Amino acid sequence: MRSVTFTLKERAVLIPVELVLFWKNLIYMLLTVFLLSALALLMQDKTVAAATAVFYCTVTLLGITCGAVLFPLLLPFLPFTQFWINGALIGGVISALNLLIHPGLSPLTLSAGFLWCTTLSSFMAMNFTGSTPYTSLSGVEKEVKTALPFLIGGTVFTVFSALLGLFLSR
Amino acid sequence: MKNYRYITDTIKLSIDSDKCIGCGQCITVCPHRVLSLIDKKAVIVDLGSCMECRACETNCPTEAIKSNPDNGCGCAIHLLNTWVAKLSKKIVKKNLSAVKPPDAVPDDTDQHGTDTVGKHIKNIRTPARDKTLMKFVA
Ligand code: SF4
Ligand code: SF4
Repeated sequence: MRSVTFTLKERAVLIPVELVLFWKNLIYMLLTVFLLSALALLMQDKTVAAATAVFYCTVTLLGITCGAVLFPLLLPFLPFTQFWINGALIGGVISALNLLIHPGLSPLTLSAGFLWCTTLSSFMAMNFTGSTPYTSLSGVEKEVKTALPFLIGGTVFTVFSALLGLFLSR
Repeated sequence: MKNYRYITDTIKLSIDSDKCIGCGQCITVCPHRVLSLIDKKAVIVDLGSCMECRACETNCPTEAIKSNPDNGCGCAIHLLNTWVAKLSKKIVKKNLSAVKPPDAVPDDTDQHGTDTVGKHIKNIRTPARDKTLMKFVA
């Protein structure tokens, strides 16, 4: 009788695959950040606009790192069964820490960044269901149905919060 | 593999004991040791670790095992894409039937039951499209 394994090494080799498959989306996201910063430049002074742009780039990259690198590595030690909750957990913790090194931004901008990192990490973690040798199709179906409202909600709130942050903190 | 457990209450797997001849094929191929041979019949001993890979089902000579009949891997993004495709096809169909009387709506399956709705739309040749194509060639 054979039995599959899913060791640290086996999980690690999947990380580049995940990242390569995701690069197109990453470009769209960074383009959005670019647009947002252009808007910020119109609304705010230059230093704040630059800090905002750097902040949003950082949270985007952090979110992807949490969900696509940290999540697979930590997989057997994570507390929840559903991948997206674990992804949100890692993303939430890391982005909360990240807020500490970005002082001087408006609370709205900070909360947008926090939400975005968490949502993105959660999505990337959910994406990993396609890479493991033990997730069942029916289980993934259940997971996606549960996660989708939260992921969409997170994204919508991020956009609102980011735009409000731009307009209100002039 | 015991430290990995996924959602267990959705797993679809059943054995028809009457059909089982106790050949043990399913036990050999299962990557998660879900099944075991007891009194010359295959039984489920660890349903929670089944990943619905259907290896047992495919290899059973008497079709005694059934798992999740839906095709596809357990990949969230693939699932999402499938749902989006289904939804947009529904919308296209709705719009088509709104424009034309319902009987003029093309059947989206050919006689083999294969899905061809997307292909129909893509392969329609119009003078305008031919012109663009010619431009590319030239
Ligand atoms: S579907 Fe796959 S994992 Fe489940 S019992 Fe059959 S062979 Fe084992
Ligand atoms: S492969 Fe089919 S017939 Fe053979 S032991 Fe398994 S269930 Fe029974």
